[in-house]
Amino acid sequence: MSHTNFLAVLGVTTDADARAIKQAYAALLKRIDQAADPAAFARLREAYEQALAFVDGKTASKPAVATPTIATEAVTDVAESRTTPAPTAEEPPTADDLTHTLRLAEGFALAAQRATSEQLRPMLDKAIAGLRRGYLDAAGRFEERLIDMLMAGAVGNRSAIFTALREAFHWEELGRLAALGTRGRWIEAVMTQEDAWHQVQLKKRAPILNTLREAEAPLTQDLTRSWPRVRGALDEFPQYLSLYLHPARKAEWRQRYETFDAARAAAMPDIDAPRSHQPQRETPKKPFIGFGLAIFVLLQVGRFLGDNHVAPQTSAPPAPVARVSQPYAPQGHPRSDGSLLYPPDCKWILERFGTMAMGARVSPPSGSEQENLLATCRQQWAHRR
Amino acid sequence: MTTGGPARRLPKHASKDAARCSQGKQRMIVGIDLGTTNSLVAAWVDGAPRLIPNALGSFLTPSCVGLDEDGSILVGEAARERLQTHPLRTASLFKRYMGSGRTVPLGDRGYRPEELSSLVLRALKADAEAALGMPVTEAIITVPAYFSDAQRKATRVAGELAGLKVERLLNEPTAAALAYGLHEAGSETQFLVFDLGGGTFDVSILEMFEGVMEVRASAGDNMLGGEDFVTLISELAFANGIPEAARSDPHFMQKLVARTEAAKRELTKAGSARFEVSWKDATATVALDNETFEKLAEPLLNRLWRPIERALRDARIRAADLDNVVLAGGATRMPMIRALATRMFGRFPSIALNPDEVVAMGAAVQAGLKMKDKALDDVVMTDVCPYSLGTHVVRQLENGGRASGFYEPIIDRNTIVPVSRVERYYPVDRGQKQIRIEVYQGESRMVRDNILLGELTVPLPDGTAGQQGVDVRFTYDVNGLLEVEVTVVANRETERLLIASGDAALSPEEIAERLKVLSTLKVHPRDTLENRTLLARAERLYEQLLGDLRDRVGQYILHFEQVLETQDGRAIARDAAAFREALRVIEEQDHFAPPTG
Repeated sequence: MSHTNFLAVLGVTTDADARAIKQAYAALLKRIDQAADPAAFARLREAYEQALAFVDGKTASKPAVATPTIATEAVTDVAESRTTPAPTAEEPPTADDLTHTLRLAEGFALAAQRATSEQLRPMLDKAIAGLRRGYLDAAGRFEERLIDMLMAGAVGNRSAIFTALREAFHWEELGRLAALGTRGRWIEAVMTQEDAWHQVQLKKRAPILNTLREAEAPLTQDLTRSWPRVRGALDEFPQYLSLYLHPARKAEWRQRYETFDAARAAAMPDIDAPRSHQPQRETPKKPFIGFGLAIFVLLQVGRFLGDNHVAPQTSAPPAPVARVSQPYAPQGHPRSDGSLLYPPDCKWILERFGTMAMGARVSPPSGSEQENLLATCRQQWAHRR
Repeated sequence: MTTGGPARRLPKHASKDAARCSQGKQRMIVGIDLGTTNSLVAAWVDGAPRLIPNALGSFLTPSCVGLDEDGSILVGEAARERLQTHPLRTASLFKRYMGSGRTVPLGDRGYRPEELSSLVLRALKADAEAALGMPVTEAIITVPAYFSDAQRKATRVAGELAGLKVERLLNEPTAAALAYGLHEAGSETQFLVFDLGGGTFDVSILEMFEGVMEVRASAGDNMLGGEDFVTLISELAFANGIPEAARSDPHFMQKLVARTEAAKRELTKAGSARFEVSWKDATATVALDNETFEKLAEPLLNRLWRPIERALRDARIRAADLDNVVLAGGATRMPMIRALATRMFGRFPSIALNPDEVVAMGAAVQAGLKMKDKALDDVVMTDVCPYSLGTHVVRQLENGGRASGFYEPIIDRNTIVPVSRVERYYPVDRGQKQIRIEVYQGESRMVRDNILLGELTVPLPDGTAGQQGVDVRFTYDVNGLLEVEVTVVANRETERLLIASGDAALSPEEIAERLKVLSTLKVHPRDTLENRTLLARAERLYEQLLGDLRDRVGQYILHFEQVLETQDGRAIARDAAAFREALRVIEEQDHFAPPTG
């Protein structure tokens, strides 16, 4: 139906607003017997939906800002609801509710990094049950926050967390993901790639996953060299394997391998000599270590900057997150992208998710540590506004 | 869940009025709420929906069917009273098995749920005819929004078996919304209907503008209702000393259910309840208050969230955007459900209409719409298909491989109905001789997690002609019934699929045969039903009581039976009144007895 057509079906002009369209639709609908003449109804309904979409398009003529990051979205929500006057009973989600929900999501994520997959589901159920004591939209906010953290690689144990969320929030259900927008498309990509991944022979894919798991720890030289073995899989299943290997670590790995490769090529001008192969392989070690050191220093600088500023997550050559050892979200270091909005308070998390996941390994931060965390957090807040 | 309270009758002259006003018209369509626990009938009379009382003067007719000693069929309150005294000759809760092909034993033969439902429908039809003073042959019957294709078809068959042409199957929450919407006519609003009935839970979100009532989304759980809360309480008896073996004793089970029902009502009224029940030499005391009951019911309460969240998501609105929350279904009387709804939506739900009656009222509004009543000229309603319908496809994977088992929806859930959609599918292999189209209902990515409705194999022409594939058209009508049509693109040959999976549905021949069998059944005459119900109630009391009280009830029964034999109308009426009063007094003394409704 062209756009003059659907307006004609409704008998309205191009400058009609949503109200006029609804009126026209209502008037025409009352003249149709839906059961007896489904075709006429289908025509009218189609015209009505297109007309509404057309009006929507006119009012939203300014292009929306391309993919606002989720973190800022959540923050503006908080900011907005904070400025509203005292909430009445008619408006359930208050700033406090929302803060609580987002904190709960972050607390869960931190606790979940150490949990086994059997522990995750009960933890998640417990968190959701807690949310349900609040307002109805809370579970959705919680879910969105966790997806953001997964997408940004801001937590460890992502594969297990993904699986637990997928079950708890019924991502397999059709139409479920469509309602999640960008986040839904990312989940869709992960699930499709997972299906394809399982088509790969087990003896091929198992070693790749093992290598990726090793890469959680800082990259050793041997690991750096094994890049060509995993490169293909990482490129073919980027979203799915990002649950195992942080995108930043992937970039770092690629980068290191390339420099290593270049260095090796430079150190081996004489490739023809077959017998000198063995010693020549040892030679690149030194320049490599030197280079690695340089990167390390750079990263430390990056880290320093990152903690104080909103680090632009662009294609800065040495990936800024690379300093992080396993797991990727360091306890108590709020970072700008996808990571914590609220200072993690270990006691609070322990209260909610019990000791099963955190174990005795986590001790609550000391007073001064707490102060530092809060200060950093406040700084970031100020920055973002 | 029967409500207490006195029965309200239509004013004496109302039936005459109804007859007069409908004389000019060709027909009268009634609206029927065929519930798991209770059923109601209503009609559109003088520009408003009116409930029609049964022979006992009550609007609620228990959905129970029993066989009397003389082999005649008892429906409603009389049968409900006999659940305890004659558990093998009484059936209830059969709506739960609609569309499953399962039979319910009653006396010496098994009945299909369609047949039992048709007996309830017949009783309601007789009540309507008596009140309206004219024959009734057409009806709007409500079904849970989340009822499947098979369950809907079975409901329609039940109507046919009762001699009713089912003009439309109407979704229960939509019916509730119609009644509520009419109540709020003229305003522009969006609201949610929270419908927790005896056996099913439904949620619908509606938008109203310019007299259009548009269902935006529906979701539900077919296996969650007030009866599940009752079961929770009766399970306590087994946890408190009744041996498991008692489960196979139908007499004990029915007694337990009756006690539990009473306890549940007591909880709603007084906040706590306590009862004792014994089997052989084991005795269990069950005591609970609202708080412990709520804790016990937590798993059930948690299941209420998912349909609500889904409906909101599908309608693309946040809970805070709703103008109102309307409660329907008797189970929403439970304080914990009200509290939960209040907490969920951050507001008090609307209870302007009686939750037991609102669905039947809405069905009567739909009947008025169907009869094109003048009073409803400015009202129109559109509904949605509550679940996705699709087919099984093979997917090409990114790495070039193939994987089967994927579900591809053709009609997405919450699409406005009537709707007709067509998709083209191609054979997987070159030179494929035929193509199989499987029809599924459900929301899972993989077909194995969805419900198979039926399948159809179509031969393909040879060579490249076959490669052009087939067009699959799904047509979903306002009643929620699906038709599938497969057309081979190359030669335009078309095949239709009658969705009838296995033995779950009755064929037209089978329907004709059942109709014949049912017509030979003797149904207890409507005019003496009141007396029969009184006797059934007395018999139930006799079994329940001990000592002096029991003897007294025994004497009453004997006396009343003698009076009945005289066939002296006036004497019977006088004695019936005295008998009823005597039973009431005895029931009040025995605080375990369920109140009658």
